Amino acid sequence: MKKTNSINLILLFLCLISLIIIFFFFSYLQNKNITKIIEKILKSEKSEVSYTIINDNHENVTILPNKLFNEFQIIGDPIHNQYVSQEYLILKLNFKNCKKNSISPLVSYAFSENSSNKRLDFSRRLFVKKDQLSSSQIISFPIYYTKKDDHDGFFRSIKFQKNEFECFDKIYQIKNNLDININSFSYFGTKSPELLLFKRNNFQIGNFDYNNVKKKFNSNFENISKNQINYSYKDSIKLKKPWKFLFHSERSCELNNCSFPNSCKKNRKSVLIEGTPEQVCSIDNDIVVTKKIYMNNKNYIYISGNLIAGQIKLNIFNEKNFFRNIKINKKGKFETIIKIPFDDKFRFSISNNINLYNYSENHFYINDLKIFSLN
Amino acid sequence: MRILTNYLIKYFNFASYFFLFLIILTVDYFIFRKFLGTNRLINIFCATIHSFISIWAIRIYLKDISLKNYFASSDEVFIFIKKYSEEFFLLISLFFVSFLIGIIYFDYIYDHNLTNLFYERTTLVALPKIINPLNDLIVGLIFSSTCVFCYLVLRSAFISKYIALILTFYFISSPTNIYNLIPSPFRDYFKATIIFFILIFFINLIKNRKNISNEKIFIFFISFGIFFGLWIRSDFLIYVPLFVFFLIFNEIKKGSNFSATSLFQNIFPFLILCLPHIIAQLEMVGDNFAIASSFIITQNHSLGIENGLYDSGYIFIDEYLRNLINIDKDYTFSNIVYFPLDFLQKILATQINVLNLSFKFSLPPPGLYNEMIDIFYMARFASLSFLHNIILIVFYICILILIFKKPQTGFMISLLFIFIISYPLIQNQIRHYFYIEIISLWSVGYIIETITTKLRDNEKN
Repeated sequence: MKKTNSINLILLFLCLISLIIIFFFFSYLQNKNITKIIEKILKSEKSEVSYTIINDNHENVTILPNKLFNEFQIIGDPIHNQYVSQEYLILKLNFKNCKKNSISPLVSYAFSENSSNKRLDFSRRLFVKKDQLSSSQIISFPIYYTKKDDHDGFFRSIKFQKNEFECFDKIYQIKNNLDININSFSYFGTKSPELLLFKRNNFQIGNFDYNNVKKKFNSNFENISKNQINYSYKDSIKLKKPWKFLFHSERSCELNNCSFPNSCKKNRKSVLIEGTPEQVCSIDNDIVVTKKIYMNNKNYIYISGNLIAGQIKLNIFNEKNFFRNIKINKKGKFETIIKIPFDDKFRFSISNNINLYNYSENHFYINDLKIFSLN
Repeated sequence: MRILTNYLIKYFNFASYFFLFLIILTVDYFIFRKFLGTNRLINIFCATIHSFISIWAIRIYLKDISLKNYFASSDEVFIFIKKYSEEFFLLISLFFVSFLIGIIYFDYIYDHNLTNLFYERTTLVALPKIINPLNDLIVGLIFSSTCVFCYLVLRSAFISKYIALILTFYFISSPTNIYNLIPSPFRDYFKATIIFFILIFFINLIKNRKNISNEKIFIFFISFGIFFGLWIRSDFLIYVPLFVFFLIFNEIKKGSNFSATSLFQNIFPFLILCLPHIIAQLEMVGDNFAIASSFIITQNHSLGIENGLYDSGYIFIDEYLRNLINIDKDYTFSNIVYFPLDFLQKILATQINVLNLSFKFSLPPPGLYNEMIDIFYMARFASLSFLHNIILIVFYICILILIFKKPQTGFMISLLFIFIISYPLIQNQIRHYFYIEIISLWSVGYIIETITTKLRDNEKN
């Protein structure tokens, strides 16, 4: 072996060893940092926030915190005539009070009377799992009040399903929120990030043993057929599967949402119910939405397909603020099982999840879409 | 013909410097306008002074270098053309094919009013109204220049001509390449042309051994490319430290001849050229929210990272991102410091994402509805898609082979390529990095090249 090649081999070996050491060191450092930030949040001076409760017709409970953003404290220098004020909230949960394993409240933003700038809507749907929370059972996140030109957008409320609301305990506000090491930090539990490349292609919604449930599937199933579909993109659903879908930059509205995000409502049922605002230049319209189907908590929906290019979302929701979804963003065959959480009428939908900033192609097949019942 | 060639050799230097002067003057005029205001006379005056100084600096730097050093007479020019006639033919064919594709697609989209299928440009760069009718020709020219430069980058990086030609045709037909031509041809797309231009000279500078004239020409073209690029987009700033790093390497590789004076001499024309850019950058107040967008969870999802149960931002809307950086001036830095593992993971995910670009998409560019085109793209996809995700491994194998074959050159080219596939971490929209599929195509070409050379050697033995 040439001398230079031996040196190269040694260098290569050293590089690999260094990378492994760096990986473990960074992992340790990151965990330590996160723990520090959370400790700081917990130890910081806070006050309990009082709130008003509103019940609506859909059995949702909305809490409207009082006395937030009393004084609009301008932070930093305004950019493009935009001013911001921030508060930091801690939600104390208590899963012992409710029979749920997970909750998905909606953090909602609103606008002042004459404001119409929908770009100032920073709503988000949270997803909290009981077993991923620390013993203190808290989640924390910042909220914003933004003024831009003559428009105001601000945090308004947190909306729970009625039976989820029982898991909610208290809400606190941090007094010196700008002292947190990283001001935009939100925390919803403990779980390490995963890289898609190493992610399995089996997905699930609900708390169950995936393989165990799949084994129990029998021939006793109901195919979701064409007549149970409420809407399908360009009526692309045929009698026989697989259903093939091809998209290329096609959005629901004529409006170009690069200029007018959050202005289009047409064929965007899933995203609107999710409550999270539209990303700029995104294509997130529905591809398939079923009619309301009555299902019980022994039912499972099984979906299998093949993603050639792009990204899709599989969503399940009802009209009572129940919403769960998963993103399919890894190319290749995929299988998903959704456990129906309680007896009710649900809709299942498949929606686009692409963005013109990341290229606009969506190309996939749905091979199976069935409802199973395990007794 | 002979007389014309002799004239060309005789007046080449003068013509080149005059042409350079005009380009520098044009760029300067617009740069000075940024910080001197809109007074036309003052801008023209300052631009002219700076252009003269720049030409003086370039002339000093490139003294003793002339076309005559390479071609003493017209005969030598003809011998050169004859020797490389095949390559010239390929280049001309590539140019015309890509020129036609660029023009036809651009006209088709605008004639059918299909621009809503594309992302919306953030900054409008329009040509003067008087040359509006020539828009499509200029777009075609930019597209074809990019494709020709793509071929030259591949050729510079050890790919033989026919493999480079096939790979360039893959690049020409790439849906993402064609897609990005439409929304912002004179800014976002043109950036790719200049980056390819710079890359050619970066690679040749690394490969160059002891030929001082060539070294100076390569350094000058890189300097000029960055100077011109900074006019188009300020992102070219990230190439400045890379350029300085390579200049230092260039001196180190000379061994005992390392000289700080020589390093300064090499960087001097660049500093003189870029002086207005430096002042403009100091004057500009950027809000950098585009970089901040790399650290929100939306970007993680695009890169295929399943997030932990924490985040430091969640919506890709300019107003939200401005809030983040307004509240935390060190938003980007804090993210790297507090979440170093996430950052490392993002670098890897970015590399995978960028390298997969060529192997991801199966449909024709938006707006084209034709059965034949569909079939062509299906076949194109079928010929490439098996490399999806595997390309990361192929790329690193190529890097290793290159380092083992040519340690010094290989190491520097590897660094350059790794830098290029990693920097979309902070430039996360496809318009900023679509052209990087050249690195995937290079990996495919280089591995084929290595295998065929090995087989040929075995046959000989």
